Amino acid sequence: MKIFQKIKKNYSKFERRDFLFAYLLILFPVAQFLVFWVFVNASSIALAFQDDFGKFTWNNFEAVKNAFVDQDLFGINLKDSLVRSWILWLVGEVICFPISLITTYVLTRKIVGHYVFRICYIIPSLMGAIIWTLLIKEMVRGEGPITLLVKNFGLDPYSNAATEGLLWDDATAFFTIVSVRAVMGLVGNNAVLTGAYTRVPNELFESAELDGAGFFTEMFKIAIPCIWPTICTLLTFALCSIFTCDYNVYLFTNGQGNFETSTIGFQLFNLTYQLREGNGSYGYPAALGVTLTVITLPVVLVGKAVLERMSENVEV
Amino acid sequence: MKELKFRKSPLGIKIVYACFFAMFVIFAFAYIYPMFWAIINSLKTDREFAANSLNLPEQWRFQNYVSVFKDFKVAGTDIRGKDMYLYFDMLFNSLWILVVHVFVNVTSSAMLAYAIARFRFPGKNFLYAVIIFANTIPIIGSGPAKYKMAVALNMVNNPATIWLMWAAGFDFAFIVFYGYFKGISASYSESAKIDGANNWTVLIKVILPQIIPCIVAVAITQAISIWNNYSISMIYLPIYPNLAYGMYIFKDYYFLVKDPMPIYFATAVISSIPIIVLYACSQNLILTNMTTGGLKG
Repeated sequence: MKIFQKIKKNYSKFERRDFLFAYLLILFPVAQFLVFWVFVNASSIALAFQDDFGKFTWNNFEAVKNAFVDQDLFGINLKDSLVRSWILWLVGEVICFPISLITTYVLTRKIVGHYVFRICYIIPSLMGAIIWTLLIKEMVRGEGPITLLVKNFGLDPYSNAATEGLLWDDATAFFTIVSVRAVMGLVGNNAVLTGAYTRVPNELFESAELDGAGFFTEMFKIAIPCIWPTICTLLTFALCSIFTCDYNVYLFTNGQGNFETSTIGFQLFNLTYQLREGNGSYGYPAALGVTLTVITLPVVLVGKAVLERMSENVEV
Repeated sequence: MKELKFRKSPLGIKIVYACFFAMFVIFAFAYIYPMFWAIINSLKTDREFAANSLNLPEQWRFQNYVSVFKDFKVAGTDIRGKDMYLYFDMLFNSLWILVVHVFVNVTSSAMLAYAIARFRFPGKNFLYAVIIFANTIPIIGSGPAKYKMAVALNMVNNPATIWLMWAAGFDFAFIVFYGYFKGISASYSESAKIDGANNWTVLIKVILPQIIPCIVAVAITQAISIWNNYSISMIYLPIYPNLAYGMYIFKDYYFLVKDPMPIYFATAVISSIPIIVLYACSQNLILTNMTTGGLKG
C-alpha cells in the first residue's frame, strides 16, 4: 500500500496513466518470462540436486564427473565432446567471423553481382538446417559428389569413408562436419552485418576519399570501427555458445553410431529427446547444464567486459 | 553505402576487386550446387540416382513433383486416429506453427520493447537489465526442465497451450525492436497527445505505422527460422509433424515409396521454394531493418 501511496504522491495523474499502460504492455511478456525462463531454470537447478524420487543427491554431479573422466550412460566421453564443441566454435567465430566481416563489407559496397551473390549465400539458411544438412549428408555418401572429389585428392578407396561415405568413417566424420561449418561460416551473420554497414553515413567515405583513403583504409579505419558495437553484440552472443557449439551434429549422425562426432550441444539435445522417448533421468542433463553454466558464466562476463573495453577504445 | 568504383580504381585495387569477385563466385557455387544437385536428382528414378548422382537425368521425371503430394508420407497413429501424414498434413502443421509462433513472439517482443523504450515507470531499468542479462548470459541445459514442465502443464501435443512457450518477449527480437523504437522521434507521440490522443491511439495510429517495416523484417526472419525448425515437432508436437520433421523421419518410410530418394529431393526443393521467394522479395527490407548494437561515432 505504501508503494501505491508513494506513487500517487510523487507522480501526476498523466504519469500514473502512463505507468498503467506500460505495465499492461509488459504484463504478458514478464509473466511468460517468469514461468518459462525463471521457473524453468530454477527447476533445472533443483533437478540437478535431485534423484528420480525427488530426494537430495550429489549423484548427478558424480555422473557428470564420470562422463568427463570416462563415459556417461550412453557411452559418450564429455571431454572429447567438449573439445569438438570448441573446435567448431573456433572455426565459426575465430576464423570465419572476420572473413564474413570482410566479405559482407565488399558485398555492401555493391561489387558486381552483389544481389545475386547475396541470394546465393542466404540459400542454405533459407533451405534450413534440416534440408541443407540432409542434402550434404547425401552428397558425402560413398558415391556422392563430395566424396568423389575427395577421392581425387588421395582418399583411400578401400576405406569406409570412400565406400560408405565421409560421415561413416571415424577418421573423416568430424572433419567433414568442421569443413561444412567453415564453408557456411564464411557468410555467417550476413543480414545483421549488412544492416549495420548500410547505416554507415556515405559522407564518411566521401570525405575519406577526398583525403586519399584507399579501399583497405576505408574498410579498416571507417566501416569496421563504425559498426564496432554491432560486432561486440554478435561476439557476445557467440561467446554464449563457447561450450555448446553444435553444428547440426544431431542431424549429421542421427544421434547414433559410435559418437566420434558428439559435441556437448548434441549431447544436451539428445538427452532431452531421450526423455521424450522415456529413457534417462532429468537429473543428469540438469547437472550437466548447471556445471557448464557455472563454467561459462565467468568466461562470458570477462569476454563481454573485454569487448566493451575494446569498444570504448575504438576510434572512427 | 557508397558503391565501389571499379573503373576509376588504381590497378592494385582492381586486382583486389577481381580476387574478391572470384572468391564470391566460388562461394556462390559452393552454396548453390547442393540445390542444383537436389533438383537434378529429384527428376530421376531411384535406380538412376543410385547409379550416378552426378549425371543429368536420362528422362526428366517431372511427375516426381506430383508424386510428392501422395508419396511423401510418414507414419504415426495418434489420438486423432491418423495412420499416415501426407505432404499436405505436414504443410498445414508447418503453416499453423509458423503463424502462431511468429504472431505471439513478435507481439510479445514489440509490446515489451515499446514499453521499455518509450515510457518511464518504476522498475523499468531493472527490467531492461534483466532482459540484457537473460540474452547475454548462457543458461545451459534447461531443455529437460522445460520438457518436464510442458508435460506437467499438458502442453505436449497440445496446440491450444504450446504457443505460451513461444511467446518469449525477452529474446533477440526485443533488442531489434528496442533499437527501432529508440530511433523514432518522441515528437510524433507528444504532438498526438497534445491533440488529445490517449496511449492506445498513439500506439495504434502513430507508432505502429512507423514500425511496420521492422515488424515485417523480424516476422520474416522468425518465419524462416520456424519453417525450418524440426525440434518443435520432434520434442513437443510429435503428433503434429511439420515439413522439417517429416523430412527428418522420412528415411524411416522409404520402403513405402517407389522412388524414395527422388521424392525426398523433390520435397526438399518444393519445401524450400516459398521461403526462398519470400526472402528474395523482402531482402532489402530485412537487411535495412535487422540491426543491433547501433553505430559508433
